[in-house]
Amino acid sequence: MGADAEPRARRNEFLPPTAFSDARRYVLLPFRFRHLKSESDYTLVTSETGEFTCVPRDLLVPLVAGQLAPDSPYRLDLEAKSIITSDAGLAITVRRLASQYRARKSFIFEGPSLVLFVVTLRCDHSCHYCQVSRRSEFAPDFDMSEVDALAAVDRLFEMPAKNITVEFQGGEPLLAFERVRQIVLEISRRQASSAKRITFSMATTLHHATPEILEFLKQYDFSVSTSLDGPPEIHDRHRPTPKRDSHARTMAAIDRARLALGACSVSALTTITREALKHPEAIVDSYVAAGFNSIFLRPLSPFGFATRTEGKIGYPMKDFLAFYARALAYMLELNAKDTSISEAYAAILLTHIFTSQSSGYVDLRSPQGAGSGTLVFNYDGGVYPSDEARMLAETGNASLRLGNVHTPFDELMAAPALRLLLEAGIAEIQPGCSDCAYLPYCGADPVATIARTGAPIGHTLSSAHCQRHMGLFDLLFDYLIAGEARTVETLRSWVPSHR
Amino acid sequence: MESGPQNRSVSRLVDLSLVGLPAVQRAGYALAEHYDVVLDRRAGGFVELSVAQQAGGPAPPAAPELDRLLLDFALRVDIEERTREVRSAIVSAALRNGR
Repeated sequence: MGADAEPRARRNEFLPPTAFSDARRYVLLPFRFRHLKSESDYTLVTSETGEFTCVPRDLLVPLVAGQLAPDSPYRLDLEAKSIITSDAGLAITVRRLASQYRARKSFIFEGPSLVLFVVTLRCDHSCHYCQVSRRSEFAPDFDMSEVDALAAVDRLFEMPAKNITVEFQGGEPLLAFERVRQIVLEISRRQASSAKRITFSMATTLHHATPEILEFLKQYDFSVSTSLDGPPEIHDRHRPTPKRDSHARTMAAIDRARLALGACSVSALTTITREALKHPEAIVDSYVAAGFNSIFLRPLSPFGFATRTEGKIGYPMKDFLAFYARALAYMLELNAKDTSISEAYAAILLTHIFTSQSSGYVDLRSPQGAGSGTLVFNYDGGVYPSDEARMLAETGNASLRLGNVHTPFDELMAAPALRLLLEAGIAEIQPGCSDCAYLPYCGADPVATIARTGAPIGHTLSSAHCQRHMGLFDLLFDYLIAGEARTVETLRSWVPSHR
Repeated sequence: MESGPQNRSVSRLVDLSLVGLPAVQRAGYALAEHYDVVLDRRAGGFVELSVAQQAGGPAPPAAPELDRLLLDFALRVDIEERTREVRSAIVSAALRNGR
């Protein structure tokens, strides 16, 4: 390469003088907005790819009309956040936004990467809020057969995704541990000659985790998630066992699992009932006392037995949001006192807010993740696009069943039920969602809409999904925009890439 | 726009040359979360937006609040129309290069 060739190439990167001739002109980029409640004169604006900033409410009209003054103190920030750009910078900006958009939607090209094996519907708990319609511990005919398990593994290896998480669920999956073992061994045998990277997880009470089982889980590098609903008086009330000792057994099992698998491989979530709404601080304290540095505060699911007991244990979403706000404030207070505790769902939402990465969370995607991100192999051989879809089937609506484990993967993906979900599951074209400032971070939930209304498209704004997420995003953005620097720093630290 | 508050209901006569029908429809959709909403086409390029309280539901918003809501939706439609081509370019480029 000659000495003068390189400088000439660099000079070509500068824009021509005409690009700087009219500083008043700018190009409007797609954005959405929402007026903030805590800062009533200010408006949150979010770009197509989720970058955000805050502007005075009366700036919106001149901004859209192309009348923002060149010396406006907000202009540089709006350019940096991809709300506006210059004529000359448009092509570069579009390329940058396309790159961010592609990263956010990268899951589209992967296919299902979370596969649930419901190895049994049996469980020894009789939780009031059970969403999976469990059967009693000794009930016959509710375990996955060996033949169906092997066929499901065949389907797994037909999937295009290179990285797949296999999650065992129930009922209580450890009541059918031999089936779990068979599936893991078969996957591991076949994985050796495949390019796939498969990881294992399990949702379990852990009560039946013997030393031998824990040794097996350790050998195959399992992560386990259990249910801990807070202090004993709350946990035992909603998770009854014949001996009414669920909390004590759960705590003992968590200790054993941590010893065997390592503390990082054991997590817990809490399901919030009407009674639990009164005790946010006590629930958080119980997690801190149990040595967890994360808690997942999950509202009641509108599926399974929870639909029948809703009158007794249910509540309006606004009550959950008030509970959540108190719990989050308390967690931030604890963090300020150097007790590290995060809320797992807030961490997912913050990941969507602060990064262009796809978080991997299939329940908050657009296009929706049921079937396209998840597949469920049910104990009876049925294949469903999501856990919620099979829960719906257990309560009598099997319309979302894609086929059975003997149906080739390509045929499962072409099932009319999946087409229905995909057509209804694009938030960008959903009434209500398309106008929402939180759209880049949120997702469509047609399975829940079907459960609620019988149709895949309903009145979005009235749905529990929308009300929950609007409330959670409002709360988080209140902290991010009006909160103290230390609070914002704590919330940012919950995002995996910021740790 | 004119106001016509009645018993726990509010109606606004919207000049469609100022606030387009898509914006009125989207505002009505958003209001339907809490209220009974009726859109009624009127002669001369107007539409009447009526917002009524549901049994046990909250009282409808005051007229100025309703006007602000309509203007917000008019702005959203305006942004969408002004940026349609750029959005299409972004999404097309993203999906084209994702393969």
